[in-house]
Amino acid sequence: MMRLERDSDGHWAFRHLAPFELALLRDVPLAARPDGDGQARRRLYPGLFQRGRVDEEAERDWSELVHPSLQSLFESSLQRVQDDLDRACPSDTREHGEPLYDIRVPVAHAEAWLSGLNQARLSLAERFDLYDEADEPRPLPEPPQTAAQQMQWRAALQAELYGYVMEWILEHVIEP
Amino acid sequence: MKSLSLIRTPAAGRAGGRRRRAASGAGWWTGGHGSGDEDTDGGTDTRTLPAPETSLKQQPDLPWNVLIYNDPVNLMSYVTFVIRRVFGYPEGKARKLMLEVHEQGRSVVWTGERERAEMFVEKLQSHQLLAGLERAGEP
Repeated sequence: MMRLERDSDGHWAFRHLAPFELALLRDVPLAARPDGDGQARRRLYPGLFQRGRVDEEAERDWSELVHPSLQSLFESSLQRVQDDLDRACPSDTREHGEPLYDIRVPVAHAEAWLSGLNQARLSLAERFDLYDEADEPRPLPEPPQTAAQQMQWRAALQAELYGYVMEWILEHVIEP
Repeated sequence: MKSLSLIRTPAAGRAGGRRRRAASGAGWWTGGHGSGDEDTDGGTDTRTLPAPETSLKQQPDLPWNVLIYNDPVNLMSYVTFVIRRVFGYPEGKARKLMLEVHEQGRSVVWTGERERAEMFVEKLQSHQLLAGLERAGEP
């Protein structure tokens, strides 16, 4: 069973990750990038005015000047997460005959992880329509019948796991 | 915003109570136009010409509000952390503003001159909060 631990040498760690948990984490960078999804893109790169009167010129400037810098910032966080994920190594324990994995992460990378995990949660929520019009989690079909429903379940699992990790980082790494 | 309860099946039912986001389109600024009524006394044409619409940038430098809007994904603890990080507010104030976002759909988290307001919006958006700008006093 996955554990999160704060080490005493300036690192925190995922320990005893099952292969499927490692796979979900390795999907963070992929899940975070909105690619062709317009709604996910609009959520990650919103305008300057969300409601009320809009200054069109300022919105154009915002899109031309601020969005590229946000994108660069988001990508650098994802790259840092990716680099940490690439250092996953088998732990000294096995479960059901399968190796489990550990990932050690420098404390200095905590905010990049918060950013990467949050980008992924926001993007998944838009791409897989995880919330209804009242902002409530959309009920998931049980059991999932189609490939699309399975993907929606997986996206919900990812979002839940990423949220759990974010809460832990905030409590134990950022503000211990 | 959510605490953590995303995965639900139809059988799990719905937790009630989370409010909808504020209706979009509310709060459009409507000033600046005359009535266009005609003067009918036959003399000089004194019709009121529509005043040219003033762009937001041309208006006097009145204060601007930085707002955070509710969204169903961002964690409450994360929103509190970001408010503290961006504005340097103490924990209690940041948490109060976060709860205002959660319960009322939006919160004015800072008010002041436009350039700094835009800088704060950019910082909030760099943490993926749904943030925006609004002229103070607009409905």
